[in-house]
Amino acid sequence: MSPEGFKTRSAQALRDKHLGQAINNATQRFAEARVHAFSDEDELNALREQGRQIKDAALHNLPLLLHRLEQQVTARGGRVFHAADAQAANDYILGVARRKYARIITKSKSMTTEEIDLARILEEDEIEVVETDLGERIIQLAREKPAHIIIPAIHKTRKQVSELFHRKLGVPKSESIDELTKAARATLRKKFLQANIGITGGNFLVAETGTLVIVENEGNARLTTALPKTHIAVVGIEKVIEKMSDLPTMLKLLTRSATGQRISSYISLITGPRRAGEPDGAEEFHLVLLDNGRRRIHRDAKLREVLRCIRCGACLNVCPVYKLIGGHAYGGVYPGPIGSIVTPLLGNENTGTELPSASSLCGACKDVCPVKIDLPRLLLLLRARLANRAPAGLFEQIAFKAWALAMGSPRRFALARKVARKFYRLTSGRVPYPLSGWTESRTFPEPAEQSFREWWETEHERRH
Amino acid sequence: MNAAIKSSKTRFAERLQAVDGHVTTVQSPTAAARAVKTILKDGGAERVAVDACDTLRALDLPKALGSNKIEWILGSADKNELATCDAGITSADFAIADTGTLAFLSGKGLSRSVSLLPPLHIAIVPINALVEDLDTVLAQVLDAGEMPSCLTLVTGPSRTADIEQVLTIGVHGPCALHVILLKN
Repeated sequence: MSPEGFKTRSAQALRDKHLGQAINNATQRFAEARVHAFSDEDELNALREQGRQIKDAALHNLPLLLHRLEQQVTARGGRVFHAADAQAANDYILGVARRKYARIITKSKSMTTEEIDLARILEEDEIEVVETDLGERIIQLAREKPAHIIIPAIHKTRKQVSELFHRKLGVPKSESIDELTKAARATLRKKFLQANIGITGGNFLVAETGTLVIVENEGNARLTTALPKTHIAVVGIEKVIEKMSDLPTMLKLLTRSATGQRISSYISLITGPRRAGEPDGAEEFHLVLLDNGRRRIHRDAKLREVLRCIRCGACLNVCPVYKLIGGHAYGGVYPGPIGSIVTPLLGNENTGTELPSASSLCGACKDVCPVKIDLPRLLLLLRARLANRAPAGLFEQIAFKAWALAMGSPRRFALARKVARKFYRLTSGRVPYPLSGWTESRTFPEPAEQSFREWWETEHERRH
Repeated sequence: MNAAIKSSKTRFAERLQAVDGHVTTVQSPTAAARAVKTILKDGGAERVAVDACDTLRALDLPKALGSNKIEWILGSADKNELATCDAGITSADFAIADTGTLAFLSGKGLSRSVSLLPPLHIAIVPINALVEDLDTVLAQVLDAGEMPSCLTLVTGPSRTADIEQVLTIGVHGPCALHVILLKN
């Protein structure tokens, strides 16, 4: 992913009028739902502070909590695998799939499995991986990537979905969202009944009891965990919290921040595989704990707070940059302000290095973050670090040298101002390359006829 | 009945109705059976799965509903069989007033799928299962022993807004949820 790539993708997104409209509508709707759900400001502030404390305490004790979590899961017959990176996670899951002769695997929505590109790895082994969340299914059939953390198909119209389902699933075309949803239900139901492995992510892990918590609205995660004989959950290590009594606060923050719901339709708390005498639920439970750069972040005291993130998507919905360019332009798995921070930090450190600059630093993300992550501070920190890593280009070096020179003395400053005014008159505000990129979509500020210093001097003379 | 229970019942009903669930309160097992009969008839349900829990065994719905056209599937956990049912009837371990939520604990002989695979879900819940909030549920479960292999929280029918953010009911799970609160 090159800086050119980001510029091209965002320019493309800006030209797409339909995309802009769709993203605008959706983000506004979700942002309003969130405000409505948190109508009591005192309650909101209290919850956010509790949420921050719960996550900070968990991150403070991370190694201990992960150890306790593993003990609890294994004591109940589950298996825990610590995956250092994407490849380790994929290799382990592929190993389980082969051992179980998996032909069809159902999958519920999970950003972590997107992060490690798990579906592609399994498909290369000729396993049919079926995304079962409606939005994810649409994206999968269209061979695209999610455009939003919570609403993956945010950019698709019913017409596009109808065409897609007709072509890929052989169902009649329809403009009715109800009918399209029914078609998805019918075709996916068959896959649910056939699959012998179910793969999910996880929203929280409770160390005290070894419990995996999955939050959803459709019921696909319930079907994915209840029906197949084997359940594999892929969860980032930062999702662990200490106690079961921490969970209600975190759930309130998550569902209200994400969709504005008091609670989602379904929440599953899964503690190990099914027990003796239970007729369904997975017989084998695998928990893959994914590092993939998270421990590196954890070791860095200045960055650690980004691991509080519960992936609610609230920062996307209020971000002026996300609202203009949508999720795909970011080029990674995690878009929006949070994506601009975690993409360069997770996995390969050389991806998404241009993203921290894709922000106006307006701070709207910080205001809505349910766990009080200071996103603007982190964006600035990453900019500084990346700038130190890669020296500035020749043009930038010359520009800043010239700036420093002009600012160095009052005389040179006055001269520079005069030159700027002449220059502006000559070009009538349309500056030549390489500055033209800047003025294509902005008006160059017109220098005043008289500067403050000039005014002051004449005023001073007049009075005395 | 004291005032606190009465108000939590009202709050439970209001919260659940706000997310498209239906709530009825009945005074006796006979009335519960009558309510079930109406819901099944309105939903055109002919094949009906019944969970193997104690509350429902005691109610003996096939007998209580008398002879009609309903085909009863009792205590099955066969996914293919449950997938052909029109309705699934369960009880619930807790009803949470704060959010209008039902809580189900997995256990011996209990299927996680009766409340999930059929398009219509009816839950007959003793009114003493009402609690204030999720904190109470989790504390009570841990006090009684340990977490079950699966604790499921259900608040309304299955829903999605994945196409054009239009709310659509019944994508993978039940399209309708009816809760019958049964007074002792």
